[in-house]
Amino acid sequence: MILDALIILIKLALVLGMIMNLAGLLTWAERKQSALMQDRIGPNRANIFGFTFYGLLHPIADGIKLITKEDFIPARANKAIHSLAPAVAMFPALVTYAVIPFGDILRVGGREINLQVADLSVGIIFIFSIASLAIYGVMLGGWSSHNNYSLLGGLRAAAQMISYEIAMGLSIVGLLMIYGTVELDDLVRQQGYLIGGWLPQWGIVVQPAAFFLFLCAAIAENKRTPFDLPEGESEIIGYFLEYSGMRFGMFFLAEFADIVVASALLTTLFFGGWQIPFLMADGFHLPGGFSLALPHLLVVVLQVAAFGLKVVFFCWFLLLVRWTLPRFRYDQLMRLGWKYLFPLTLANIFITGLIVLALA
Amino acid sequence: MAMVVKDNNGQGFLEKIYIPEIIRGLLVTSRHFFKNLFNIKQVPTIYYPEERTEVKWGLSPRWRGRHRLTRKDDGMPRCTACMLCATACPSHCIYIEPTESADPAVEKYPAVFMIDELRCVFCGLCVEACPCDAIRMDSGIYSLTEYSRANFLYEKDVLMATERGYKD
Amino acid sequence: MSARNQEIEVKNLTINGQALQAEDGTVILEAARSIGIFIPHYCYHPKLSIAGCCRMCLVEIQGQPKLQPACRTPVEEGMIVSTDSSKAIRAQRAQLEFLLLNHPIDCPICDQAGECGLQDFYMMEFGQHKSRFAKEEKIKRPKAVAIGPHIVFDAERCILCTRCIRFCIEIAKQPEIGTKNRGNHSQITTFPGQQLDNPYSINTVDICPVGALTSKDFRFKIRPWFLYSTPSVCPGCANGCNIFICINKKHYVNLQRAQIYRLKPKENPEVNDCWLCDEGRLSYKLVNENRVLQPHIRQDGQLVLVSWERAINEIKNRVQKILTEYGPQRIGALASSKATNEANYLFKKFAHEVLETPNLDFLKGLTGYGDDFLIREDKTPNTRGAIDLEIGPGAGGIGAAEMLSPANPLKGLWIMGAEPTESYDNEQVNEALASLELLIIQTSNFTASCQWAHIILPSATFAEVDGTFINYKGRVQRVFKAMQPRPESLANEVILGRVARAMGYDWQEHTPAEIMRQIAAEIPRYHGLDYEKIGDKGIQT
Ligand code: SF4
Ligand code: SF4
Ligand code: SF4
Ligand code: SF4
Ligand code: FES
Repeated sequence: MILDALIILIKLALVLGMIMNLAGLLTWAERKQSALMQDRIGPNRANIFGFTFYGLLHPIADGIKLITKEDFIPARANKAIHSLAPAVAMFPALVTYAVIPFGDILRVGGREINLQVADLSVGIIFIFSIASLAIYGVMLGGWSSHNNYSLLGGLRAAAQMISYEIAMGLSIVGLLMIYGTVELDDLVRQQGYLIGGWLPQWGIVVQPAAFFLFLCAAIAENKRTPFDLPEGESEIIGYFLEYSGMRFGMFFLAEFADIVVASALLTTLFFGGWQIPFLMADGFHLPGGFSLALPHLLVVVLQVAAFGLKVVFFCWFLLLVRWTLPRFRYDQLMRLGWKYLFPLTLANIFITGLIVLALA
Repeated sequence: MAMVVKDNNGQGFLEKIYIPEIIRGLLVTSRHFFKNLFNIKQVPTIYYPEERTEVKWGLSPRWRGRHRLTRKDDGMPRCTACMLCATACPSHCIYIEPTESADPAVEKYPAVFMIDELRCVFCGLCVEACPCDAIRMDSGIYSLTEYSRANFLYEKDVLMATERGYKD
Repeated sequence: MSARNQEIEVKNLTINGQALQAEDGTVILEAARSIGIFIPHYCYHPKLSIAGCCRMCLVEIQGQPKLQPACRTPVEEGMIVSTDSSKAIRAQRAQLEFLLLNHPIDCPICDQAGECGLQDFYMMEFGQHKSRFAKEEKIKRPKAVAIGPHIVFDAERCILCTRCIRFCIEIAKQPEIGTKNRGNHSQITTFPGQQLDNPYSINTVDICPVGALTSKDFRFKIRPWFLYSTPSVCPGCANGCNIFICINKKHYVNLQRAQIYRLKPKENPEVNDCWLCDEGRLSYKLVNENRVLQPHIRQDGQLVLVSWERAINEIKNRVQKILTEYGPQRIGALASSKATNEANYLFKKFAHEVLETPNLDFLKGLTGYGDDFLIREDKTPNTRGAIDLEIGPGAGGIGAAEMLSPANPLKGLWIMGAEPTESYDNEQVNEALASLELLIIQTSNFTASCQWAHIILPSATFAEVDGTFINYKGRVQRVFKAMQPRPESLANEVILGRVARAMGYDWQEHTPAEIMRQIAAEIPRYHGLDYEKIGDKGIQT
C-alpha cells in the first residue's frame, strides 16, 4: 500500500518536474529559437564566472528577478481574486497532465506500474473539462485588475477560448469513433497496431484532417501568435496588464506549461504517444519479417524517451509557428473559429462516421 | 499618385487556402533556424559594447545623433534664436530665450538654449527648419545616458562644446 | 439705408467681375475689402490720411491707360476694376521687388516675422526669395537703434511707407519723426534732439507693416505665432480701451508657464479706435510680476505661508472676535475701483451681510497725466462702476478718508484689491493701519500696505477672471478670462463666497455672469444687461 502511494508520488514528481522544467526551458528556447530564426544571437549575457551556457542562465536570472520584484496590486482591484487568478491560470495546465500516459506498463518485480499518474476511465473528457477551466484564470485576472484594458483583454481571451474549445473538442470526436475509447492509455495502445502490416495506426494516419483542426484550435487555446489577441504584448496589452513580479511570471509560465500540454496531447492523440513504430513489447518486428528481441526494461525506456522526444519536437514546432506567422485580426479570428473550423470538424465527424459504417 | 488597393487574400487557390503558404513560411524560418543553429558565427549581430558600428563601418552622414549647436568664427553661436526649430519640433522640447546682442548686425542670439533630450524623438525637423545651419545632429553621439532626468536638459554650453562626430 | 441714400450718393461699380455698391468717396481698396477682396497695401491705413507712396495697391481700371492706386482712387459710377489682371499682378510683383531692393530679409532675426506684411507677400504670395540685387550692393543702414524709450528702429527693414510719421502728426499730435535724404537714400529719422517718446509711441510698432519699428518691451521675448489673444479691457485708466491679451500657446513643461507677453489694441470706434497708450500697454506687468501666490498669516510679526483652509479659519475666528467684542461699527471694508463690478458688488453684499458694518467705501487709486485723446487722469479702470454700484458708507458709517486717518475708531479693516497709499497720505495711512487689530488684504500683488497686514489673500488679476468694467463715460465692457489664475490665487468673488460660507452664511457659488444679472436687477441704470448683451464691444449706459 505504502509502496503504491510512493510510486504514485514518484510519478507525480516526475511529471510535475517534467512540465515545470520544460516550461522554464521553453522561456529560454523561445528566445534562443526566435533569435536563430531571425538571424540573431539571442540571450548570451547572463553568466557565472564567464560561462554563459548558451544563455541558459537567463531563465534563472529572470526567475530571481520576478520573485524579488514588487508585487503590485492596483488600488481599486479586487485583492483576493487578483492574487488568486495566476494560480487559477496555472492549475489546469498542471492537472491535465495527470491523465497523459508517458510509457507502456512497466513490470518490475511482478508489479505492473502504469506509466501515467491517474488512469481515469474518462481520460480525454477529463482533459477537456479541465482545459475549459483555464478561461477562469484569464477572465478573473482581467476583471479583478480594475483596468479597462485588462478587462477588455480578459473578454477577448474568454471569447476566443470558448470559440476554439468547440472546434478542439469536436475535432477529436472522429478519433474517438475510430478507436472507440476515451481512455488515453488504451488510445495509445491502439495506435501501436499496424494497418496492412506496415503502417502504424497513428492518429495522424487515420485522421489527418482532425490533426490540422486540432493543432489550429490548440494554438488558439494557448493564446499564442497567430492567435495572441488576448495579450498582444507588444501593443494592445491583455488581461495581465496590472500584474507584476512572480504573479505575472505565473501567467507567463502557465502559457509555456500550456505549450507542453498541447504538445503532449498532440503526441498522444495523433503521433502514437510513447509508441515507436514496429517496436512491440518484446522488441522490433519490421514488416519484412526481420525482428530484434529487446529486454523489457530497455523497451520501456525507449518508449518513454520516444514520448519525450515527440513532445520536445512539438514544443519546437509550436514555437516555430509562433515566430513565423503574423497575428490575425479579431474578426478573422472569429471567422476562422466559427465559420471554418467548426463546420470542418462537423464534416470530419460525418465523413468519419460514414467510413466507419462502411468498413463495419 | 493613385492609391493601389492590394488584395491581400492571396492569388490563386493554393494561396487562398492558406495552408501551403503557411508551410512555405515555416520552411523558410526553419531553414534559418537550422542554418544558424549549426553555424552561429555567420549571424550579422554586433556584440554592442565590445564591438561598435561606428568603428566597424563608420556612421552614415544622414544618421541623427544628439544635437549640437555650431559656432561662428568668433566662438558665438550661429543660432539667431529665430525659434523656427522650436516651432517645428513636434515634441516641444526646445526652449529658447533670445536676448539682444551687443552687435547690431547680429541683433539677437540665444541667452538660453535648452533641449530636453528625453522628450526629443530625434526626428531631425529642427535641423531641417534652421535657416542658419546652427543646429545639427551630426555629433555622432547615440548613447545618451544620465543619472537624472534633469541632466537630460542639455544646455547651450554643452551643445556648443560638441564637435562634429565623424568625417564624411 | 434709404434715409441715408438721400444724403450720400451710392455708386455702382464692378470689381473682378463682382458688382457692388459703395458710398461716394469710398476708395477702391475699402470697397473691395467690403466684398472680401484683399488688395495688398502698405502705406494705406484706414485711420490715417492717405499717402499713396508705396504703390503696392495698384489696380487696373478699364478705360484708364495707367494703373491706379486703389488706396486713393475714389469709386465712380460704372467703374470696372480688376485687381487680379496680369497687368496688376505684374505691377505688384515689380513693386515688391523695388521695396525689397535694399531690404535685408533677415526674417529669422526680425521680430516682425510671422506678422509682417512684406513677408506675407514676398514669401507666401509671390515666392520672391531670391533677390536680383546682390547682397553686397544693398545699401547698409543703421540697425537696432533705440529712437525712443519704447521703440527700436531698423532702417534697413523700413519700406518708407510713412505710416509712423503720419501717426505722430495726426493721432499723437507730436511730430517727432520724419524722412531725411532723397531717393535711394531716404530714411526715417527723429528730428534733431528729439525722441519718439509721445505717450502713444508703441502704436507705431503696431502700424509699421514691417519689422522696422519694434517694441523694446516685446522684442525677442517670444514669436507671435506662439501667442493667442483674448479680448479684454485695459486696466490702465478709466478710458477702458479695448485690448487683446496675448498669451503663449505652448508651454514647455517646467520651463515656461503661461504668461502675458503683450497687450494689443482691439478696434472699437466707440472707445479707442485702434490705438492704445504706452502706459496701458505695459500695464500687463502686474499680472506677471510680484504676485501673491499663497495665503499669508502674520505670526509673531512674520508673514508665513498657510493653506486656504487655515487662512479662512483664521479669518472666521478673528472677525467673529472683533464682531462680538467691539461690534460691527468697529470694522471697516474697502472695495476698489480696480476690481470688477462683480467683485465689488459681492464685496458690498459681504460687508452688509457678513461683516454687518456700515463702514463701506472704495479706494480710488492713483491719478496722473491725462489728455483729451485716450489717457484719463483716473488711473483705475472701474471708478464709475464702483460709484454706480453705490459703494459707500451706510447710515452711521464712515468713508475711506476717515477709515484711513489715524483717528479712526476701527479695530478691523478688510481691503480688497487696492492700495490705500496710492490715494491717501502715506504717513497717515501707515499710522492708521499700524493701529489695527486685524487687517485683511485681498490682493494680487504685494503692495506697501502688506507690511501691516495680518492676513493676505492671493486674488486673481483682471486677466484671470471674467467680469465687467465701466469706463468713465458709463460704458459697460467685458473682461474675459485669458488664463487660469496662478495656482493658489482665486477670483475675488470666489474668495468672498468661501469666507461667507465658512462663517455660516448660505451663499451660493455664483458665476460672474449670474452676479451680473443680480446687479442688473438691482441697479436701475443697468436693467436688462447681461453678458450676452454686453458682448465683446461693450454697451453704453
Ligand atoms: S529632433 Fe525632432 S523632436 Fe528632437 S528637438 Fe529636433 S525637432 Fe524636436
Ligand atoms: S532654427 Fe536655428 S537659428 Fe533658429 S533658433 Fe533654432 S537653432 Fe537657432
Ligand atoms: S520686415 Fe518682414 S520681410 Fe523684412 S526681415 Fe522683418 S519679417 Fe522679414
Ligand atoms: S518705420 Fe515702419 S511705419 Fe515707419 S515708414 Fe518705415 S516701414 Fe513705414
Ligand atoms: S497702399 Fe496704396 S500706395 Fe500704399
